[in-house]
Amino acid sequence: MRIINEFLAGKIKPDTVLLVELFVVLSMVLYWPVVSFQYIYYDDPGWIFGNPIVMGGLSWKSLHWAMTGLVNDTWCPLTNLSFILECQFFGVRPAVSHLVSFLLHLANVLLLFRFMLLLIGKNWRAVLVTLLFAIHPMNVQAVASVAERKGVLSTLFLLLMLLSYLKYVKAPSRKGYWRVFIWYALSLAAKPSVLTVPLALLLLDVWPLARFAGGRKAFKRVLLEKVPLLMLALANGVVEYLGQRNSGGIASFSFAANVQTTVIGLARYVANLVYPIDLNICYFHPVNYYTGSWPEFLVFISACLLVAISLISWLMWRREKGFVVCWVIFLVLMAPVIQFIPAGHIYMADRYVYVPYIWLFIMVASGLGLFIRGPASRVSVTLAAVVGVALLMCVSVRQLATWKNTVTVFSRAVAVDPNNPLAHMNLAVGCSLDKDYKQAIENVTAARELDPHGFMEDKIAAESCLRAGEPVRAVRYYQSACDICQSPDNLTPLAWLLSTNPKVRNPEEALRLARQALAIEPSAANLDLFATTLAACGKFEQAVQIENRALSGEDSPPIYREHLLMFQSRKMITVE
Amino acid sequence: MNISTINCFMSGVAGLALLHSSAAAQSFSAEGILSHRSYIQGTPGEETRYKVTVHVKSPQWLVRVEALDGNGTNGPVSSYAAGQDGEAIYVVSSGSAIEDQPPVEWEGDSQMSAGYVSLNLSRSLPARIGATFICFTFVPNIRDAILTGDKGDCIWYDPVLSKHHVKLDVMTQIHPIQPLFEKTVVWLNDGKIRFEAENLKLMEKPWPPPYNKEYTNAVYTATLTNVYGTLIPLAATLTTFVPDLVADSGTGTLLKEESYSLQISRIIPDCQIAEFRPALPQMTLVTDLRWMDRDPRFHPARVVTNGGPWKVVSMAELADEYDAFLGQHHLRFSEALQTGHLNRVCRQIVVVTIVMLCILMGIVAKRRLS
Repeated sequence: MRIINEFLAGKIKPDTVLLVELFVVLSMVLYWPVVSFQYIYYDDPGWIFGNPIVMGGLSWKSLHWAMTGLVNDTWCPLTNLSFILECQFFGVRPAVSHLVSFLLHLANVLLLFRFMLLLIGKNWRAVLVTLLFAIHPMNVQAVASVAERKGVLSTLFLLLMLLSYLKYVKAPSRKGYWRVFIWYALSLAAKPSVLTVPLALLLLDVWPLARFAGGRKAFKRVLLEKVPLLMLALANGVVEYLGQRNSGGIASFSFAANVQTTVIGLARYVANLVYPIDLNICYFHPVNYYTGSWPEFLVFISACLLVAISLISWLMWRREKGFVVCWVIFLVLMAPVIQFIPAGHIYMADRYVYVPYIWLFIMVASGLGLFIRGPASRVSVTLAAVVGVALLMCVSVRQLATWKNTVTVFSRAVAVDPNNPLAHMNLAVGCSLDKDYKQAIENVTAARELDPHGFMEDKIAAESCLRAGEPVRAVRYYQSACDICQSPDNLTPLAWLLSTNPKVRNPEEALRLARQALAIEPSAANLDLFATTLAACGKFEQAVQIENRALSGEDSPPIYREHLLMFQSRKMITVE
Repeated sequence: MNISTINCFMSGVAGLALLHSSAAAQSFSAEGILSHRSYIQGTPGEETRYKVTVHVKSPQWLVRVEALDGNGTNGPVSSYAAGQDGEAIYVVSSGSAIEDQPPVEWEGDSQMSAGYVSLNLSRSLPARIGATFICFTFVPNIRDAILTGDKGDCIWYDPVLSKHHVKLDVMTQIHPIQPLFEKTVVWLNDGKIRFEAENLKLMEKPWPPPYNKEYTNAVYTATLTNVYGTLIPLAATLTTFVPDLVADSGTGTLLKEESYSLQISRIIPDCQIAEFRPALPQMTLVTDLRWMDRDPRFHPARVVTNGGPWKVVSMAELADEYDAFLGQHHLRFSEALQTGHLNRVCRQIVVVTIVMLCILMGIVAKRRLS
């Protein structure tokens, strides 16, 4: 008891090595199971195991793609490069991908501890902040999702940048500034959601760095030094916005709905800090399927929560300036991901708070500190902190278990919200891959009911039916997908099925679709498809002619030669 | 088992058709045969024949098409009837049941055991057996709406052009005596292939050369006959063409893709029918597209007929059930949609807010005391 009191009173300085060991052990206890987890068929295919360029390892082509390519409408060259290097040295292995994410998280925990020691001193608050960062359930997604490598990687560079910034503030130099600039550029190159960090630095200059105390000249200098960082962020922001806009990733809800979403999203993030519930992989935007607005009571109570916290922070200004600054930094860091400009179909994601939560953790630690009045309260606060951390750790363990594979993670999402079509659809994908076609089709049907305008459900249902040996149903689902969206991705599988499967063969229709696909994209794959449909129509001479064109390309797969031989011997391709 | 589906849609064409109702009044009934043939790389396939009955009493009209000899089962639809009563276009299509579709639940806790033709399938299939072509031939309002200025909607099956109301350049030759009827219409593709991106936006790319300049997409011809002083189409043909992607580039060969031929065998100069909405068989599954055409957030409303009078949109919006209908379409927040998740979220935020408000009050009270 005496030791606790002295530790909390700052008389005993904690042994840094011991604390580092504690963080490592706790992180390992929590996150080691990830090495046995699978890839998730959601975002992971685009980043690694469904991306042939990444899987091919290091080459000029992959390097060029890493620097210029967008994955899920996001420009993250450094993350792309990390996946390419991983595939180059270890191949495509989920265990390695998860291990890398875990190690990056561990590095982030240790860097954060170092940052906290420098920012708020070697005391129990720094320990608590680091502990919360290491084990909080809202951070589970950032570590357990391979696709979220970008988040942990970006945070690594961000923390290095913050450490460099503290060093620069202490001893300003051109070299020191360049170090800050480069770490920030790398952080942006890993994930663009750290756009608003230069504004957060300005707030850090207010507290605890107190850099505006030097009068007007100091004020001007502090502002000017942020300009290059802001320019960098702005350029990155424009690239990101254009990527999202060109791909149609930016959804169009009303202004009022966007304001409501912002308020509710922020309130939920704050509430999840202390009372995390219903955590899952995709929080489907209810405005997608409701009247276009949120339930009024939810908007009202969320606004109340945000106003209450803002007032508390403001009233505490004299006693604890850090409250206001941390709260504003949290809001600033959340700005790019708060879905005021909605991207995609989700209104929030656990991974978005990986960095912003650090500032709420500081608020929590500082808030607990205010309750310490004497030896008795010190014990109570310590107990409260230990119990809180232990409870959060239990929630994290439970939450992590849901990330094992596609089925477990989306089963959880469906259990949380049975009205989530995105969860049903992705669960269907998982079930289909597990050869549980009945479940797959049930989930697709549920998704279709919830989102009648979506065609992805039909494609997944078609693929499930095909794998289950039901081509007639597969054709209907593919046709339905084509009726909703005449995109090449929908046309080609239907054309292939109609020309190769004897149970549903309709070469005339297949030819129409294949011709359209070829005109849109004159690729070797579409030439091969066109040749296949021509052969199905009995036009073998023309099929040979077209297949030869497909084979003239550089990267034509060997199967095309087999197709050519079949067409030369007047045989059509048959796939049952 | 046969089932019927009725699609009611106030399409752009229909809307314009109503506006053009000032065209000279036509009144006649006619019967004939529609022949349809598809071509595979220019080689003609098997011909399919349909019996066609047309009733026109401007601006109302009714067309019935039935497959002959059982050959017309182009997909699940074997016959259809389309009509306009001044408010909407009704398309009733009948076809084989889709056995593996889930049964449709409807009021009264019972289920319709037959399958159903899905919205998109049934909406597009009538076009594939010549609905627009027949209407274009016989109904001046529709023809006017399709051919406005130098541009025209396509009247053959093209899901992208039809869905996005893409108009192509047209060259028309008007009948010298009867200006209501075009003798020849040629649709010219502007050299672009159109498709949809995943966000359903219309995209376009040039066809491979030399088709990227312009090519003849379709040719329509009609011959007229004089019946008791009124000129009425006696025969019409429509042939569509596609670029030949097999031929060496530069040849610019066009291949026939589809051809329709309509031959009228009987004409009654005065239309005697009064009901222009197609008759609904018992237990018809209705796929109502009228709301969806007005607001894309609606999805096709599937209901089963109850034998009552058919409501026009303005009447339906005033009905007591309209609120429930909006709820079903997720366009009004309903209790049924408030899942446990949202309730739990509400509870969570309420709990945290109360804690924060308590802290806030504590701080305020302490400040006052000090």
